[in-house]
Amino acid sequence: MKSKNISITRRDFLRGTVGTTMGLAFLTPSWLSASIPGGPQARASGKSLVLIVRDESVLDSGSLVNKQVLSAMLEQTLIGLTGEKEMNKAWLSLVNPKDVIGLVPTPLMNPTHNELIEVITESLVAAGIPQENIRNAQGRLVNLESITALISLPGLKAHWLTGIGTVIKNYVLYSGAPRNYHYEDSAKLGEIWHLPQVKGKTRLIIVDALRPVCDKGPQFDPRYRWPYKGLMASTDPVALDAIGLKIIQAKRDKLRGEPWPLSPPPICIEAADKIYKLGHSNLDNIEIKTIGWTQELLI
Amino acid sequence: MKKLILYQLQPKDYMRLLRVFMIFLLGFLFLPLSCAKGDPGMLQAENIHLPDKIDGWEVAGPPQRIDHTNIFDYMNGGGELYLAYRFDQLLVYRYKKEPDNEILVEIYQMKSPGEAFGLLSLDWTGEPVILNSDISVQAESPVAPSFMALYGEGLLRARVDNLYLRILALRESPEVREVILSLGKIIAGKMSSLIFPEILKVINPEAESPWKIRQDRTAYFHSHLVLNSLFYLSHENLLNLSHNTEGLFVNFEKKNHNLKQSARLLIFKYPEPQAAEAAFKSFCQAYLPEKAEIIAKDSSQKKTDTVQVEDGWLGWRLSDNYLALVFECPQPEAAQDILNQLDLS
Repeated sequence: MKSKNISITRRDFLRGTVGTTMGLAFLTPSWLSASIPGGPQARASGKSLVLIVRDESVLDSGSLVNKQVLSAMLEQTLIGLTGEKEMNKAWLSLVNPKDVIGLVPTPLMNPTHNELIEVITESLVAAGIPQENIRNAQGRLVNLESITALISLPGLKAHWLTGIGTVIKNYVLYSGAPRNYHYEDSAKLGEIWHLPQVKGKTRLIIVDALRPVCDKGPQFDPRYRWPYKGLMASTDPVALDAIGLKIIQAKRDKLRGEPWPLSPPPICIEAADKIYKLGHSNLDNIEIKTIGWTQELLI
Repeated sequence: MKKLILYQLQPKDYMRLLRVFMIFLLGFLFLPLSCAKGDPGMLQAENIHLPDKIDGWEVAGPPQRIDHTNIFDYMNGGGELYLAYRFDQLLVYRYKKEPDNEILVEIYQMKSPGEAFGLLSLDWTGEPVILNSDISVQAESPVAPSFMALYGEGLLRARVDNLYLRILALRESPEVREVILSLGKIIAGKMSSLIFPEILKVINPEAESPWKIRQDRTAYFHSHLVLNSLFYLSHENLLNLSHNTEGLFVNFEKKNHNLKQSARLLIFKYPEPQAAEAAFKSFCQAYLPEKAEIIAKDSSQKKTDTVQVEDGWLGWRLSDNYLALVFECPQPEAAQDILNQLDLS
């Protein structure tokens, strides 16, 4: 729902008043108000952890994925994020064998690599999750009622309508009306995470940053895809998008040799923090941990 | 009552009624056909005959036809881009040769050559390619590049009259590049001319001005969605943009030794002067709320002015059915200098 006569404009970004204007511009419906907690999810330290794991050898010269290397990267990601000593325990700290797990990859533009979906499925099975309890949960026809745990697997990419189209936007098809989030209402993408069939189910987000896309499309242009060779993970969707945005923006500036700001600016990230309380968008509240290859880390 | 009225009709009235009915019937029968076929004089995507085989690449079945009813099924939110321009239909061909590779040929049939120009103008980077050497540019524009096609890393984008092409290979190689260019040349064989939208002519660059146009940033559009992807003003449609309006985004630069300054010019052409004025009023209310009242009072006489905002000086000019806005100017004189290069009559 939109309040009349208040618009977010370029000047709000210049003045740093986007959050305030958004608060005034968007009236939260009652079902949503009841769902929004008092404060963002955070670790005990008050910061959200975002882990970036990279390996130079995960892609060959033809950009084909080395599954063995990817599998090792996944293990480092899970152990690094959970603090457990081995991968099975790491998985079981996030999900349990009775869970029906929905994997949510990105289908278009910069699709999640199949190899990533495969190694995640294999490692979940190795941790004791029955294969039949693991399913693809992307799309508007998915029955979310039967799914108890979601693992979101978006590809890192810019988006022409929302600025960034990675973590927060990855559930847009669950809304049943993705077009409703294409215009000024892209700020409201965070509300989808509060839908009763979605809320609280996301146990982990692993961003496929093997070959991100730094321009917004809307259709794929290979010139803007580059081999970052990374996985990014967190339990905080907003923090992950904030760091993904930082990487994309740095790559754009590097490509052009001058500031090349994403346009439109991705207001969904700040809204997901300030209005929908899904996590931290302020970089001061995000702890970034990196493992592996450090060349052109872009953070 | 109806019978009574019918009895009062004369034979000539029946003939008139019959004629009206026949006209209505013919219109009803042929309207959908004419809509499907597009405007006369425009290229039809169906009339492009692509080979079944080319250098060992084989087309996988008949083309997939996409229109406004199923474009979101084909490309999700990407469909908004083509609907933001005046879009008729899209034909999609897929060529296969290697198991892990594919050449995707997308032929977007737009309602006019300006629409295809607009789509290409969203990114002028890449390697310029001539797909049809018989076509020469009717007149170079000082405002935008005169490229027909651009290639980069397995993607060819081109404008062929009112058709916009995207030919993309999943994996590029020198051989694949040749196939892509060959397919582009087959389609471009139908091309008749390389023209620019008329709105580009409103800019007459002054040689002595230090503010120079950066041609490779110029873009043509109709929708605020596209405007926001070029230069963000607001997530809302402050300027009342639609298919009935034309918009031009032009980047100006001023170089002084090592210092480079930029300013962004937006020009909008509305169907009538009242629409341009209404759009300016709407813009002022949302973008310059603290000054909207003063501007509204002044603008009855003063059709051009500047105002300082957070990112520099903002200038505007209202003239007839045009509205021009220039942003990020370092001084008010810079805004005036740029606006003086416009002929909005």
